[in-house]
Amino acid sequence: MARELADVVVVGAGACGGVVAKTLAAAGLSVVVLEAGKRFDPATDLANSEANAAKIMWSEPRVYAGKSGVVPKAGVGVGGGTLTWLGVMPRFHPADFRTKSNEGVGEDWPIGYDELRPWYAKVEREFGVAGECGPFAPEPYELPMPPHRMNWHAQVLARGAREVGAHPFAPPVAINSVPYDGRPACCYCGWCGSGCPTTAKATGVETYLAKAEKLGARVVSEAFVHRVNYDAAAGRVSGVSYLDAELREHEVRARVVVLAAHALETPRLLLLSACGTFPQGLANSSGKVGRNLMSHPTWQVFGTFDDPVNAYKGMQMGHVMVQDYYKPDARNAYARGFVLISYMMTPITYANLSGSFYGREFKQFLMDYSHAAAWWAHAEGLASESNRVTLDSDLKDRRGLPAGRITYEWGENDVKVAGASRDKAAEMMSASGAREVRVGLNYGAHAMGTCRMGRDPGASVVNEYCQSHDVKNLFVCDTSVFVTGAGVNPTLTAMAIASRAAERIAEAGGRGEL
Amino acid sequence: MDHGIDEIDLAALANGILPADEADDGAASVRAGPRLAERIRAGINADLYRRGLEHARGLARRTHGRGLDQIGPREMDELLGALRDEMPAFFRQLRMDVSAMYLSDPDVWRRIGFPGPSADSGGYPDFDRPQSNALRVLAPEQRG
Repeated sequence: MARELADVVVVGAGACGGVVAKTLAAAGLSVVVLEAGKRFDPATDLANSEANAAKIMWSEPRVYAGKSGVVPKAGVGVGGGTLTWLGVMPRFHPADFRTKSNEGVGEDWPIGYDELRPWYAKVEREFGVAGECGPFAPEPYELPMPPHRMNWHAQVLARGAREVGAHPFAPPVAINSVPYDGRPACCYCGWCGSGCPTTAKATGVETYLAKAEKLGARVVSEAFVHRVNYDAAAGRVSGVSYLDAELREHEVRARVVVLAAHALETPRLLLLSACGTFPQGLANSSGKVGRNLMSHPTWQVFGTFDDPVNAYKGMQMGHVMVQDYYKPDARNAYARGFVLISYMMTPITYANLSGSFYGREFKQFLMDYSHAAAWWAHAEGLASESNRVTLDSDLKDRRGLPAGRITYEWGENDVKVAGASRDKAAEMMSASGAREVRVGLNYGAHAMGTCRMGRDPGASVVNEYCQSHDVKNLFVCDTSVFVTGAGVNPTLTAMAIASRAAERIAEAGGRGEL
Repeated sequence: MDHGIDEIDLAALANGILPADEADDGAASVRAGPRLAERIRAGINADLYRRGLEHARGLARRTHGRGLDQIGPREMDELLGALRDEMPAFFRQLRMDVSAMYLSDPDVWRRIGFPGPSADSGGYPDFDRPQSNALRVLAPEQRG
């Protein structure tokens, strides 16, 4: 078996793994990043083709159980989810971290907006974000790039939004509106979800990981980590074991292990790493690993117009956002809130997100592609202990490892707040002048919360610095640590938390504490 | 002949998802039936399709006393509705596969007004301008 030695091993080369790798490499530590997927060349591998979307999507076998069968999208490859993501990066609001105190739902975080403020700004600057903070921002703040001009699609949507009294704006998006950090401005080709061939869209690989590699970090692709190794005598993790593309076994020994494999694979890995000391899964003395899985209940709402919209011209998501209904309001029939964001897709995705109708009606819907507009109505989903990731007892992956089993059922509030977002999107679509409004698919966007942070080691998996309560040289730096999901896209907040944790790891490492 | 993956039956279901109309032959224009059969023979979603086809054949037999390829458009519409309720995973896969085949055809792109790949030709500098022209070749009176 091949062995390698490093100060830090990071599992997962996505948005958060990149932040951690770059920060720790810059601090002079030796870093190895292990990524299950391949390394792609953007210009060729991510050229405009919907077939390319398939190769950067996580497609390992999983069981989706529970009443709602939520299937959150996740990416794979060096760059992780940012290869296929659409780049919308709003900050969370102070109230998002205190839902229990404010509204009696969810749970409070051990940190808040004030702790994350400098890290938000740091990630926005380093990663490259364009846009306006908007009229409903947690506080007024400047982004490093000017907003994108609204594409025609967004202008059509904004017209209806204003008509009903809302305040549409061009939200923060990690896609270059001007050349930035050596990457070009967006050409508005409209293929973001298939991967960006020009690198105008920020990905983990073109930003943080590229810098980490220049600083000496090693990124190993097609390395599937199947176990975090625990040294019971030392009470510490000693590194990880992984299988390469030919299923050969490797080991990386490290002083610090950072898991950044996303909220479905990170808990699976901890559960796969059960050992004598932690029979229910590594770092799982609380029994919370895999629990409190959250997603965003999302409706796709389409409108068909008499005139062409050609919504495929522009960024797929985020030319316009409406955040008027984000702030909780005691007069609402639901807790928490939602946002509406423009989202237009390439044709196959357009078909898939349209729902389950068929026949002449479906064909007509496809024929109307160039005349269609779409709102993505995205609401907050609350945590529930019974929504969780476990290991399936029957299904195995190609390595013979138990597949993840995702059990999910939307709660009553999730259904209500998502219904309100859907109805508001439909109202705005009519106000924009759509001759037909169609409510499309209802699905779960994003996965979060399976290794939540907290002060109480009996009720959470990691502390506010993403450090395991049980094993002090083990960290979780991805959306797994979320306590609530808020109503906006989660990547910026996950990266800000990872950035803060990585700085802490570097400091503790410098003091010889790890 | 493997009755589990009869391409005539697959074609009948595919044509029910995207039927022929004045615009084109729908699923048949991209040979969805034979192509699905090929994929299934290669093992892709084979179990799901075998179970789904068997169920669909049973529905056609019980309700209409005929094979899938013998029932009319309205009967196929009803049958797909039943399939959607009774075998949602199969229905979803079928709908997704048939529409993906259809929407990967550049001729279909022309009909729906989608120009296809655009990054190599510089994207769309007019992205923020009013869109007065769709590429679509169909006149409004031809639509629905």
